[in-house]
Amino acid sequence: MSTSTEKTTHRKESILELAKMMDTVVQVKCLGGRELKGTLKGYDDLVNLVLEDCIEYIRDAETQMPTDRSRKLGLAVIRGTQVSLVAPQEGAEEIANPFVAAEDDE
Amino acid sequence: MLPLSLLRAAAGSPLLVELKDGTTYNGRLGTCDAWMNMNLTDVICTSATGERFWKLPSCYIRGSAIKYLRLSDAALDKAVEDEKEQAQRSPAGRGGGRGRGRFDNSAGRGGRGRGRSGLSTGRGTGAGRGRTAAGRGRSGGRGPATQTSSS
Repeated sequence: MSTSTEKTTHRKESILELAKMMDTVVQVKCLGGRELKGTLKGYDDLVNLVLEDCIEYIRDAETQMPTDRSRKLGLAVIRGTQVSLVAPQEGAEEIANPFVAAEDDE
Repeated sequence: MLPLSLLRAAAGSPLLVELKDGTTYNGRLGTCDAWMNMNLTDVICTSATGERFWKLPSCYIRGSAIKYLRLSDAALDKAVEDEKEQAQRSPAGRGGGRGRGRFDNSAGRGGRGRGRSGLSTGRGTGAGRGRTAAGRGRSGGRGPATQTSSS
């Protein structure tokens, strides 16, 4: 029985953990390749987001990869259907290839 | 074996997610839901080119953005166990009969799979199926039986 209760809680409860990211800087990836950064000021169940001081990373014309250049969007509402990933900025950093060492071990 | 029940069984274990844009995310699966939305922790993000890497403490991934997932073999064994447990626990009454029937079928499928894997050694088809049957055999102790039937 306990399994079925677990299951219902899984289904009913939203797995969204954005509450702890409120008022912190978050990185957002959108479908289509846009990448945004801003302070999370609000969200809903559909993952519509309110970002304050939002910036969009300009993408390279050829590679479509986001560059260090950015443009200011200010206060923005991001539609949930277009959001593919949300991650906190704090603790995020670029690192060297971590898989090389792992392969050496094997 | 449903894809989402396998994913649910993989909660807490390492997982690789590739998004439609080609970026991959290696992390420990926290929670997931019926839309395949999920939370990962201790994430390593790899760019689509495979040249740049980022470390993220956590991230939320929308299910609709996912191309595919890779999970450990242990998740398969756990899912099979969970399925069995579910079959035992589901009450006889209260409309549970249908669900149980399905689980009985899945047990039967395992049996058939064994036969197929025996055939497939002759026909050289269904490598995937053969492996599934072997996986079941391992957890259910049917391994020797499989070998007998194929020899």
